[in-house]
Amino acid sequence: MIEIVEVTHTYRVGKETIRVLEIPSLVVGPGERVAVVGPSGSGKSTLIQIIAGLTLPTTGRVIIDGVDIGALGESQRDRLRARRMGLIFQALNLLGGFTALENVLMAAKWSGIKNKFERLQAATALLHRLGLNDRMHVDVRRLSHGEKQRVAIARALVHQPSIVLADEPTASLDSVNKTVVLDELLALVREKGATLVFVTHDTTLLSAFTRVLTLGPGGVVSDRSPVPGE
Amino acid sequence: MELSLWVMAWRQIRSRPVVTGTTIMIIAVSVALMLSISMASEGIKRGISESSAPYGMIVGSKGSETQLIFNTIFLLDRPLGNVPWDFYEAIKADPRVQAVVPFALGDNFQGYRIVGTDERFFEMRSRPGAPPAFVISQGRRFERPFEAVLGAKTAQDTGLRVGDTFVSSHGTDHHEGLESDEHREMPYTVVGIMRPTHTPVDRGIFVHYESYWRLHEHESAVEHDAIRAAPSDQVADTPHMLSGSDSGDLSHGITAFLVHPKGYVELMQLYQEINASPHAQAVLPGQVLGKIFEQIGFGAEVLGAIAWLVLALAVITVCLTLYQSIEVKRKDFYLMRAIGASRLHVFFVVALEAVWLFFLGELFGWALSYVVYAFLAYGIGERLSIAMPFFFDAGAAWKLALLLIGGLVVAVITAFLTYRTQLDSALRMEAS
Repeated sequence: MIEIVEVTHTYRVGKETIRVLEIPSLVVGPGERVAVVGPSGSGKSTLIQIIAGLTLPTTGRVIIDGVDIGALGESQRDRLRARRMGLIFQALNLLGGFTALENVLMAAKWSGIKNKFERLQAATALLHRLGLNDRMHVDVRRLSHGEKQRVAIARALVHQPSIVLADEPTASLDSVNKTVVLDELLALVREKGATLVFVTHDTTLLSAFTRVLTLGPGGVVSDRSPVPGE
Repeated sequence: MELSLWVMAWRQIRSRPVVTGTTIMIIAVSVALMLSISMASEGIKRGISESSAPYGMIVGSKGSETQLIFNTIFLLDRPLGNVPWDFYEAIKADPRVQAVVPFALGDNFQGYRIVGTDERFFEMRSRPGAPPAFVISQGRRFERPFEAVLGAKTAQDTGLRVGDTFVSSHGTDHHEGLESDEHREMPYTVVGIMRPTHTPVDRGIFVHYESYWRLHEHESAVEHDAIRAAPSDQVADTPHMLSGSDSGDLSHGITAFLVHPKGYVELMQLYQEINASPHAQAVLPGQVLGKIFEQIGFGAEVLGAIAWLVLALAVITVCLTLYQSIEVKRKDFYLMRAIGASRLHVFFVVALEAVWLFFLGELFGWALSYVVYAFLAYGIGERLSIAMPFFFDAGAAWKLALLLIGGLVVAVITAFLTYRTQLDSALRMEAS
């Protein structure tokens, strides 16, 4: 479960302070699939970074499964993120020079799966499931964009996190790959019972989610269920 | 497949081959420069020591002791004047002397020096009880005048074989086409070829010293006739006047001789007595070479200091390269943090990248130093016949260890910079 209480986030550009995020209250329950939409600069990516503990909010609290991450030290936040969360980005997703399997194994190792065999089994099973059985030993720099995003999904889910945070993972994909990647991600999230927070610009995808959160310059503009046919 | 931090660091540097290759090359060349200077210095010392091992005390005419050593042992430089034969005989007959070996120099064949000596030359040993230093591999030793034994390199370079004949030329240097310098009337016959010794002896031609006497007696007679027959104004231009140090006036003496006294006390007595006499000087090769080594050592120290400076520059370059690569890889480090790597993980990956670079740079540099040394050894061997032996330079170990420690410091500094700034700046970068 994700709880956000009176969170604001600002940053300074010269002498000017810019407020990029303001959320008075937000609760995302277990298994919910939330789409976050809004114009550029409305704080969608910042919201993902704050939930992940990659950056701390200027004010307010973020509580993950009952743990206030603002009260944790950086290494404790690292551990919490590694064990309970899976992250997918639009770009900047995989480590070049490593194979698809190695990218997934890295996340498995840092998430705390101690047994080497278990890590390997989980990683290969997911890559098989995502149709990458003959691409898992290829350097990720040689994969197509769609394949890269599927590897990123495998990496985000290999340790069975309770929360999956996806920052526009389908933004640069063609329509076929967009559908494939989203379907696979949603299917896996449903199977694992994980909470999904999915940032997107694409309003044609919203019907796949249980909830749509719209951010605007002043904060949360709306928090609703998707409209049928959206 | 297990991704240890070592493997991750390795993959990171492998993913940028140009930067990695250049960095490793900078370290390798600097290390090779530093190591090959000290190795060459030590190699030359060892080569000279090995070459001079069979020679005890050298006696020659008054003059430069270095020139005497270089001419007699290394077959370099010009001979000093001659020692009177009577003086040689007197030392030979001295009861304190165990053995003497005469050396007459002054002629050459195609630049290879002809050394007049006697059969005792073949009994010389690097130390008491050791086998003879100079052994015949083909044919036999010379037994009479105008029989010659060739050093291994002389035989190889000139193509002369046992049974072949050649004529010597006057002087220590070969003058192509100057037939007037050649002793055509009295050719030498090759009777033996020596086993390679990897010393200057390999570049010599060894004959009985009486050959020199006869050759120069004959020349003197010819010149005497020519002087009598020539108009007085041409006398000064007549070649082979056989006087002065360059000609080596061998009909009345020898150029130098080796003395093996019976013991240390006898050695010191003879050393002092000979040096006190007006006829000759006695030189202990070890002492003279010690002075030369000091000069070589000083030169090597200066070069070594320069090499350390080059190495310091290399370390700074690596530092900058690493820092720059951190800037480039900041996104990767951010991603690593995002998927669960702790700051320490990233710290160690960056630090181990530097360790890899230094380790590989040092490894290649160490190997390269032997390649450089091999080239130097070949060049010096060809030009001077001083065989620089291959050896394991134990001194290199601490230098490499020191450099690795320097590399670790660089590693920790760059890793700390990453550790301190990675997430904040990555996020700023994302926001921008």
